[in-house]
Amino acid sequence: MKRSISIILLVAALPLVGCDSSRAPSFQLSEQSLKLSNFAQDKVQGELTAGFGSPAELVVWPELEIDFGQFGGTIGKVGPRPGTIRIGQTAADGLKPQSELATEKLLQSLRGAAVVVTNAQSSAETTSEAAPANEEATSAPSVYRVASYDTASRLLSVIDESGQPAQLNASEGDTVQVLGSTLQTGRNLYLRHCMHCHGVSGDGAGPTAQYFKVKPRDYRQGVIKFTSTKAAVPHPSRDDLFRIIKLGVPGTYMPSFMLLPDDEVNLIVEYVRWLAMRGEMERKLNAWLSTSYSQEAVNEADSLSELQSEFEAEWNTDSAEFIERFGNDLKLDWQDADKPESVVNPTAPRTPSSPESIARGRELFLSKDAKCASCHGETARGNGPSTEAFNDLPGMPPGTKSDKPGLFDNWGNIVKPRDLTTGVFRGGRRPIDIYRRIHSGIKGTPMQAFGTTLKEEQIWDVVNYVLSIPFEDKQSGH
Amino acid sequence: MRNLTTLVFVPAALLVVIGCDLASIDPGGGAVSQTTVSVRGGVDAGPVDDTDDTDVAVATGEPGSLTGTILFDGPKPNLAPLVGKGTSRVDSAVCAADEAIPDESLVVGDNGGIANVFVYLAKKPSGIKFEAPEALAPLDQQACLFKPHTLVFWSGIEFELKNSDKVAHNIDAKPAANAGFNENMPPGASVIKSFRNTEALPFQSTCAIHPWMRFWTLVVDHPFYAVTNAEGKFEIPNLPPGKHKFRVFQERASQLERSIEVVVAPGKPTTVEWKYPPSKFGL
Repeated sequence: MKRSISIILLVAALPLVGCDSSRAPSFQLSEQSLKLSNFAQDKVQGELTAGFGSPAELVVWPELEIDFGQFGGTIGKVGPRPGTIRIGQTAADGLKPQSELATEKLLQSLRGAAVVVTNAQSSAETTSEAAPANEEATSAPSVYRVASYDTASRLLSVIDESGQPAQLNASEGDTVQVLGSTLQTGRNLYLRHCMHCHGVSGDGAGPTAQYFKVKPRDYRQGVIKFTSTKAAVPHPSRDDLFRIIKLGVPGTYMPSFMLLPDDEVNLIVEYVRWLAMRGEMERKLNAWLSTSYSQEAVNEADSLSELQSEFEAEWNTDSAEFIERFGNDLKLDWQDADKPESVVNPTAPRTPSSPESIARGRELFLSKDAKCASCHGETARGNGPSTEAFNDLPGMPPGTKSDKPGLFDNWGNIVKPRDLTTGVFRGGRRPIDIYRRIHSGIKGTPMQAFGTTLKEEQIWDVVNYVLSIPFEDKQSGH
Repeated sequence: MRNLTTLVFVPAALLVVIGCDLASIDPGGGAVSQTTVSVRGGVDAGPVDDTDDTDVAVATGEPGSLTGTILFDGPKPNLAPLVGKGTSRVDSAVCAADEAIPDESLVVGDNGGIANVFVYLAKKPSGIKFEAPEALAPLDQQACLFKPHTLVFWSGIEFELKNSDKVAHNIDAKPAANAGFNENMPPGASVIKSFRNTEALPFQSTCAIHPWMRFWTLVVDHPFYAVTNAEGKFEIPNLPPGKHKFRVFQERASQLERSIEVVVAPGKPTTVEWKYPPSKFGL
């Protein structure tokens, strides 16, 4: 009997262990950030929290090139119950879910989203010509959260930070905006479908990642390998991400998510872009601070308090400017990625594949100009001489050689040049996909961009050759 | 007895499953209502106060200059060439054909001076007027080496990358605060690039085809920098007199000085001599 009681106790304790609340998803600081001194780390953490929040408490940073999800309009009526707003007739007409399931999905995405009420009078003041004198009198918009929304009656229930019905500072005619609903849905979908490989922070280190030989993408550099964008555009377009999620990456563990509806994939795309921006912001803050204010700098410093006050002074004078510049970088670069002119679209149509074109392509492949063979090998097995060289370990002092031969990517993994005889192409096997691989290179890898140096016709010849390789007659002495 | 244990165990085991499902934030489950969104108040940096100057105490007066030598405190190191003459496995007709490829990671002159060391103000001094250069010296590739091995670009100003070799190269640039690139460089190629941001430290660029090739680039937004010559000497002219903090970077050692203070005298050169032991360079 005693034994059974102890078993009961033991078993009863199990759920507590399993349900450790520390397992709630949270964004982790990067390895780089962890090398910062504590005081610099605090500021980086603070800045990331201010700009992006946490998985459970997302932050809408309106300047970013992200569709956070918003709807709204003017307030038709405040009330009847405390903390409720009826949104005006014309507004929010876009939110008319056609089914019960769609309604449930919509409500899920709205719950917790930010509600911004801008006082009609104060916004009129700021837009009027004589504003400067009254500037101080203008009240800032009030921010609340969505508790629920009734699509039929357009009744929005609003709560405050403590979860109680909000004491609204709003009246008829004020502007109301609901922000962040789709980012929340994107987050939910990401946590369900992507997180276990790509990690909560998008660091490519989810719980499953450790078992993979080919590592899941770490988004935090904003770099994705297979894009349609030009070499000079650092980021993928939304279409690129959509395509990768839908089709998967052949030859890797990245599966196809063809069964997800398009709108859900789009929401995941937006959340992945947002995670990438968060990572980039962290990286840029590190590029600025890690030199002077690392843990190493603390160890070397004569006086910790002097270094810290130096840091505080620099942070106080410069951080606003730096953060604005970094935010601007994110905005411009990600905007660039979605511009039509950023996409590699050859003006010359594909040269029809012919023995002549294939021969020209093969000649280029082996030539001193393109030197494809130096990595891909003369027989295109992905075993060129570059794969035999012992290279410096990334992120280590020069001369620190890796103990394994091979080329490294930007994430510190050894990458194999593609074996072109298998007919499996990670970025897609359409001729245009291979054209773009050659034109822009594969970002973050030693596969370089040939678009500025090879002519369109030459690239098409190489495409024709590459597509012919799996069918090459191996007996012919190639 | 056994029955009892089983009776207890099974529901309890179920609890484990159920309990965990509730506790971890299941995105599709009930916990979703606890998540929230808030709005960042926009990035309102406000006017940047250029007069507030905590880092550099600039006195008024005629500009001075900083001249100096960076010395290797030990016998001249004898680094083996990276590729012996005539032994290159890649492009042997061009690479290391006439001369061995030297190890440029530490170049010490006969006087003990260290070449290719960056000396620069880590932070753009405020309240000083200067003009950005109209054009920047290009980077070239000759005999499977990047020329020069060290160079300085300005943020926002275009620069040229060239290849004078008879074989193809590529330039794989991995800056920290800017977007990187990886461009193929066939013989005679010329590529124009620019960086938007400054870099706190010089960064390395490589060529995947010839793995020994590398060069180091600093990106600045002010003219107060220098790279030491073959004798380890440098000069930074037109410095406002007063206290300045310099950073000294050598590729093997990384930061020789994170922040070294120098008081520049008005109207004349201020001379320094900095000496570093072999251990700094991993020797």
